[in-house]
Order: sequence, then structure tokens, then C-alpha cells
Amino acid sequence: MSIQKYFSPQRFINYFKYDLRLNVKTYLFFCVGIAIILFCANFFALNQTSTSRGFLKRDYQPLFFVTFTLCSIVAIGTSFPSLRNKKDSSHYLLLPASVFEKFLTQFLIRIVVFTAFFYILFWLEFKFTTAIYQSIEWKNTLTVKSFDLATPFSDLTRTLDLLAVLFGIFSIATFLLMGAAYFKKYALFKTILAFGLLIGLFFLTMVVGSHMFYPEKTQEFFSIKIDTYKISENLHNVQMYIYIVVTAASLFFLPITYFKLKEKQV
Amino acid sequence: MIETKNLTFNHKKQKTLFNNLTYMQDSGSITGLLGKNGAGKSTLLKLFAGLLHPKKGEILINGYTPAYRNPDFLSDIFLVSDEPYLPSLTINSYLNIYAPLYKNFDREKMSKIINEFELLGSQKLDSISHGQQKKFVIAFALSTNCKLLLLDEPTNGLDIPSKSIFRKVLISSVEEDQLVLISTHQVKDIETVIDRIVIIEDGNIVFEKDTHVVTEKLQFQKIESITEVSKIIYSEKCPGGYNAILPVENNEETEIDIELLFNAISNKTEIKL
Repeated sequence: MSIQKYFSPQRFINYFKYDLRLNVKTYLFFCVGIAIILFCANFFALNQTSTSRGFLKRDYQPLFFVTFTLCSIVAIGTSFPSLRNKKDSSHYLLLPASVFEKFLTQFLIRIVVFTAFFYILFWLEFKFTTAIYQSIEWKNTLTVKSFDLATPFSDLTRTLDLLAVLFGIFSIATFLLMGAAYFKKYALFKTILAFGLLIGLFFLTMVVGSHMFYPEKTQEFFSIKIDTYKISENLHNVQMYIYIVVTAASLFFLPITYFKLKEKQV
Repeated sequence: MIETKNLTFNHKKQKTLFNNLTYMQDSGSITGLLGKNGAGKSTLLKLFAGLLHPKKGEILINGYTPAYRNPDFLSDIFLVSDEPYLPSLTINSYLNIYAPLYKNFDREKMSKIINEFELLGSQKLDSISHGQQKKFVIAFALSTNCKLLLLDEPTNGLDIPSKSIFRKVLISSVEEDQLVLISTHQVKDIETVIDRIVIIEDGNIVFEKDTHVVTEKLQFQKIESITEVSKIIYSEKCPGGYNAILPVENNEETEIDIELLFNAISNKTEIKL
């Protein structure tokens, strides 16, 4: 079996360059857009903070995760833009690169590069916004802690928790990528809807589990009482369930994306 | 080059378009794929390009199965669709971005064809006319030097001078190891360039012959009255008489009238060659 038909470094470089050169304006526009949105979000968050309390880590972390989630939805959910209509799809599928190279290009640009870019940009933007805010609001001095790059994850002291969060983020990112390859029209909307259905399914399994295993505690139909069980001192069964689900999900969303792209017909 | 064995295909929730279709074609020719609307010409080109997958049967192009979209296969095939996708780029930028993807791309050939078509490198592809876009894509397709060129209605949108340039450029650009498959219903536009005729009807290939074989055996003549000629194979009324297909007599060859031949075959006329 020749690996050349799946991956050739030179062909991949050519294709990667092609993608960057073709979409350079879109990517730059997106970067500038994120920078503006982050500035506004940070400014708003700082403005809403009481000067007596100051801006703390517990304010910084949710701000990071909320903006990261929203920007990820746009950045990753709009992957494979050429698959939205027949004309563009034909052109895209016939470009002389392997399916894996096309998939890898989107994965690298939309997930790896975007995540790294956002992570650094958020940190820089927050520092920049704070400086601007403090120069404008110099009369009402707001104390802002000095946050570093690791601050968003600094509360996750246990390796298992950190891995669970990282795998969770990766799973959601790969789910968005899969949705973009799977759905043709209104892919972003359909992906979010599908994600909502998955969350609903998860909730339903918890409800069913509660009724099955803890019928005496579960009085109302939609109440979840399953989280009462502890596997060990610091590990609930639901935590364990979530860890397994997010880890496993991240492993199969990527292959599904690849095979969906491979089987695409116009 | 093209080996299609027992191909069966239907679009989703539609009746079978091709049923056990078998078709072989070697390189070194410009083949006209003719058929009525909905006969399956564009679908067949898409199947050859790997954009659609057969339900049954096998397609091999240069030894590759198109549905697998092997990159080596893709770098040696180019499909010019009726409505080509063109990004918002100038011709020069397009060439800089796309040409490196095709290993045999010939920039000299490209600039020569572009000049013939009177296009400029600084022109933006999304702001030129449909005909100019078509000319650009044809020029690009020919310059890739792909072994298989699939042209779907290439003359649609071209003005009269451009059609003639297209024919000239096509004949001069195609090499012996290439195969050009042109799907069209505007048969007059390609009459002088094709050297093989394939006619599809109801998902079957009903006629498949080299043009020289046709001209060796058939004559295409304009006659005043059909009563005065006895061996008419097929005729159609036209201003001033009839266009007729006759068997060749005295080795006298005439120019092929593909439209007449196509109409004869569509009207189930038996043509023995």
C-alpha cells in the first residue's frame, strides 16, 4: 500500500499554500474581527466590574471560555466552505490533493492554528484592553490582577480534570469540524442543532439512569439523582461518564469527518 | 484510458439512468459525447471525474477508480463544467495559486491561449462575462496538460469568433496521449474538431464511431427532392430542399453533418457502418 496516495509532503505543502493564498483575505478579516470582538468583550467586562472588588481570576476565566467558545463556533463551524454548494464542491473535490491532505489542512488551520492564535490573542488583548480602560477611566482605578497564559486552566490542578477539559474542548472542536463536512447547507446552524440534540440525549440518559438505579430518590420525571454516587473520594460517577464520553468522542469525530469528505458526491 | 464495465447509476430517488453501460475509449482523440437533454451526458462526465459514485459496475480511468479520488488521478484529469467556479482573483493571481497544483502545467501555453482569447492577466475573474470566464477555464484546462479533459458544454456562452478560436486552440493543444471528451448539445460548434462520436440515449450508448468511418460510409448531401434519389437513409426538410444521409458511392466523401446524423439516430434510423 503506497502512502503517497494519502499523503505526500510536497503535495501537502502545495495545497496548504494554495489554501492560505486563496483565503488570505478571509483569514485576515477574521483575525481583525476577533481582535475587535475581544476588545469589546474585555472592555465591557472590565466596565461591569466593581472597583472595590477588582477584576479577579474568577472573572477572567469565564470571559476566556465564553469568547473562546463563541469564536470557535464561527471559526471551526465554517470549515470546508467549498462544500456549501454544488459548483464550489465540484471544484474543491477535484483539486489534485488527497482527501487526507484536504482534511488535514482544515484541521490545522481551523482547529490547531485558530486555538493557538486565540489563546495568545486573548491574553494580549486583555492586557491591551486593560491598559486602554485604565487610561480612560483613570479617576476610578480598577485593580486588575496580572494574568498569564496559563490562567484559564490554573484551577485545574488535577491532571485528570485538566485532561477532561482539554479533551472536552477538542471534542467540541472536532464535532464542529464534522458538522461542517457532514452538512451541506446551513451547516453551522445544523451543527449547533445537532449539538443541542446530543446534549439533550445526554440529559435524557441521566434521567433514565436516575429512574433505573435510584427510583426511590427520583420523584419528579426530569429530576437527575444519579450524581450522588461516588466512585472514589474525588470522583463522581457522572464525572467519570463525562470523561469517557468526551475522550471517546474526540477519537471518532475526526475519522467520521475524513470518511464523510471521502464519500462526498456532487 | 476509459474502461467502463456494466455501469449502473441513478440519482437519489430517481429512476435508473445507466443500466449495465459498457464503454471503452483510448487516448489520442477528441470525442463528442452527444445526447438529448437529460440523457446523462453531464452525469457520465461526473462519474468519470469521481464526483459521483456508480451504484454498480466499474469505471477505470488510466487504471484509477475515479470514486477513490486518488491525487495522482486528480492531477491528470480536468473537468470544465458548464458553470465553472472562479474565485475573486485576477487571472495572474489565479495562475500563481492554482498552477503549482498541476505538475504538468505549461505557463507558456497558457499565456499563448489567453492571448488568443484576448484575455488580460489583470482582469478579475468574477467581474468578466460568462463567456470570458469560460474561455479562461478552457485555457487553464488545456494548459494543465491533463491526460483526460472533460468539457461539459464548452461553447455555451462563447461568441462566434471565440467558438472558432476555441476549435483552433483545441486542435493545436491536444497531444496524442490525451483524451478530450466534449459533452454538448451544440453539435455544430464541435463538428470540425471531433474525431469520434458517441451518442447517448436513455442511458445507453446507441452510436459510437470514428468520424472517418462515418465519412467513409455515409454521404451528407443537400438534395432538391427525395423522390429523385433512391437510397436515402435519412432526410430532413430544409430551405430549398432536403438534407439527406446517403450511402457513399464512388468513394466520394462529404463533410459530416453531425446534427443530421444525431437526428437520424434519435429517430431510430438504422445506420449500418
